Amino acid sequence: MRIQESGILDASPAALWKLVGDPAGYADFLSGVTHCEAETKGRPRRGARYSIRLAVGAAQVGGVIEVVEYERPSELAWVGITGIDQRGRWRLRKTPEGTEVTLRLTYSVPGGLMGLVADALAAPIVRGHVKATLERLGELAETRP
Amino acid sequence: MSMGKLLKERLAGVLPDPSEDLRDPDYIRDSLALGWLIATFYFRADVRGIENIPAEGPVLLVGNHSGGNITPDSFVLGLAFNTYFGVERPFYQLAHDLVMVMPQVQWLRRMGMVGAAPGTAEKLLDKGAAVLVYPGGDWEVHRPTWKSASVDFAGRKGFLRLAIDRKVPIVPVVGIGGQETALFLSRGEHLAKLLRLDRLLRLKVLPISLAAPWGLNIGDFVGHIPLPAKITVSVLEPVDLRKKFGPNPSLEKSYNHITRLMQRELDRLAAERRLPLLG
Repeated sequence: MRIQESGILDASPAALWKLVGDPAGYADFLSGVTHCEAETKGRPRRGARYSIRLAVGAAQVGGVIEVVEYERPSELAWVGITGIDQRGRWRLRKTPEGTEVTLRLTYSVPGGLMGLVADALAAPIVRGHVKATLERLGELAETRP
Repeated sequence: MSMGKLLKERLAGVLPDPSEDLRDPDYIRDSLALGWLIATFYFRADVRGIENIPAEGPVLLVGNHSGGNITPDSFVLGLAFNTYFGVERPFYQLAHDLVMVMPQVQWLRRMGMVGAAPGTAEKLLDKGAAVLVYPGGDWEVHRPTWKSASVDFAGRKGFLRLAIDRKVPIVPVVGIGGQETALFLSRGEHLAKLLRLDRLLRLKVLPISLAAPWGLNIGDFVGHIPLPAKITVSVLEPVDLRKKFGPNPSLEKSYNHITRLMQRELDRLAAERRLPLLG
């Protein structure tokens, strides 16, 4: 299942990158994320790992993710190392009105047919989280210098 | 020889040893989707405080038990644990030996259920696992529905000795809603005594309930279809009995402390519920 939402935010890519570029702070603005903590030392970079949990229905799903693309201040992508199969991507593009922000989550629930059903039924919940995240990101970018 | 022992011996060649570890992480992983669907849409499960479980190392989870022989609270907690920590972290649930020999629950053994034979929990904790026990067992799980909001371990303190001996923290887990999945009328303890079930099968109860699809359900031996009651599970902060009560904690004080903590949380959860089933 692939969920993607985009929006134009009234902030520069550099300002948004301060939030998006550090996964350890995702619990502050990623809707549904209950926990996100660095598993590796040092600054965020390609190869850095984080343990992350997202509340979806009755479960908090997640596991350890690894950053696989890190291009300041435009692109950050991760893949799941443990837990459910998942990928995520932030894309920031400068526009005349500010920055076009895209958040894309791709995941696959194991379990054959039941996995597909769970995928489909979880989609509206995850989409709600993604939409709320973009709104929250916009609010935070306005309030933070 | 008791009938329980005889049954175990007869089935020994047919079914795996109840204390044998048959947990299969890949099987659990493939079952998460179905578990999530049932927990989310049927039981509208709400699990709080799962992050209170220490992120690593052995731990003894101690729960109040509800729902007759079909226990949605343990199912919901199992799902929450496996999705939060990952199926790679060993997580076991102790069950009565008689449950372990029921052919219809053999799949639960692949989810991590093991027989509560002496020494089993010790071995699992020694290898770093998280172990879930329900001290109230059959006594608590079949309490009448109107006693849903009471923790009743029947004075059983074995779990405290286990935690103290193995130097592991206890994480109390409090659930509500399970006792609304059927109308539990009586434990039938007098009937069980009359029929000498305690001596023959180590059973102190012969529960009587009104449950789907049977109507009047005596014994609940083959289970029932649970009604879709909202299940809420609250995981409390770990308790280190040695830190709390010194190097040789009194079992009485420890028992009172743990059950008081759990009862307080259960009272809080009960006060939140407005309607039976709906939560």
